Amino acid sequence: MNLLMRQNRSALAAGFVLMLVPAALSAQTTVPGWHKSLKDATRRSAETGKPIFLVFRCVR
Amino acid sequence: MAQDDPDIQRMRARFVCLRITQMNRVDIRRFEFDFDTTWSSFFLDEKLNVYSRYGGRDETAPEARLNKESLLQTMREVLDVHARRSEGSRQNGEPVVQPVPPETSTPEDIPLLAKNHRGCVHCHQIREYRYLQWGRDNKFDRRKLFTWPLPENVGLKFERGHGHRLESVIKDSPAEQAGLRSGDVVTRIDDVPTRSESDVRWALGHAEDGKPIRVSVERPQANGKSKNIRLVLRPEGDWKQTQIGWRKSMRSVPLSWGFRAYPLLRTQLKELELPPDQLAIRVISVRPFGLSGALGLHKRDLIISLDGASRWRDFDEFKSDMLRRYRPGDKVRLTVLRGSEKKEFQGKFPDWHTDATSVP
Repeated sequence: MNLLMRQNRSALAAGFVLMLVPAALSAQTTVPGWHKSLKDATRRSAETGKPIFLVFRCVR
Repeated sequence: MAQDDPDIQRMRARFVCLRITQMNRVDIRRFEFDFDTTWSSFFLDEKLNVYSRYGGRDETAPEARLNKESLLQTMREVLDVHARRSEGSRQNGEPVVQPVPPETSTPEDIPLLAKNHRGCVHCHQIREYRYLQWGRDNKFDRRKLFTWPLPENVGLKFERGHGHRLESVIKDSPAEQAGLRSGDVVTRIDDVPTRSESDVRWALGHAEDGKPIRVSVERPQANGKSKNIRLVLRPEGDWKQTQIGWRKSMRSVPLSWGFRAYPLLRTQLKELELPPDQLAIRVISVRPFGLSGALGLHKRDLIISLDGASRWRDFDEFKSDMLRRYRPGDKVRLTVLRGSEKKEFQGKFPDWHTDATSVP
């Protein structure tokens, strides 16, 4: 009985972690072609001569 | 749109693209946008001089003022000015980049945010913490609610597919009185070069109350060329006001409403034998202070008129209209159905609340 409860708790904990992972990833994921740091973007702009297109995307 | 559309993708390839998803430590003086929106953009050079900003919304829908064609138009203009920037900080006598305050400021400079907030700072929280801080410091002013005026407020109606070319000029407006015409491209407002509607709104928002606003336009000529013309707008009164019910930051306006409510639907209006466009705000809870206390509202009261105005609107728009209409100390007049009895209530609009009762 205790083991079953422990297993259920473990399964719940694992499920909870799995639920969190996509949310954490979506907040941190690098979108291809997009810089994430102002410093990197300004350096790249100076190197290439291209202007910067900065997007603020607030993820609620 | 900025991510998936093939035309935008092709245009994006000509820029260094940068995506920021949290506002922690961002310079919100340089990167000032409408913080109640969930998407906004800037066009910059490598020294972070601002060529243009693109974004913004109104009360109708989040993307009502965004458009693929107008974004492409702004991008083309930015590429053009960026390519010619060696000509100096002014081109054709006009400034090339937008003014930016010399000192920086980040969300963490708002003491209440620094003290109470942990983790990701969302865009709307900047506005909310500012309201709460101003309330706490007794510096809140109703004008702070209306910082992104619509161009229509001064009579400018832009083509959605362009962004800053006039589709029409509203009759009897400051724009018509100044001599603006459909087809004019607004290229500058005061010292702000404008390459999008968002630029125009930002410049109008920064215009000083009561002072004339200088406008430069490119006006098409019969010979196919265009002529630069300078005009002056002279808006009067509370011209910056817009409907703000859609704003998430509304919940942090430092005002004690003292009641919660919801709007009745058409079916509910019919059951009560009220007209389908009748204002009908049902009070569901009251506390003995704030506006509710001043008016003497009761739970279950049905508000059917605000100072004689009885058009249907939802509760957020109702609150927005109150904020547009009243200043602290003004007399508020509501007509209420209490049971089957119609009652008139009057009370003073409360002072701005100065204690931070909640944080977002």
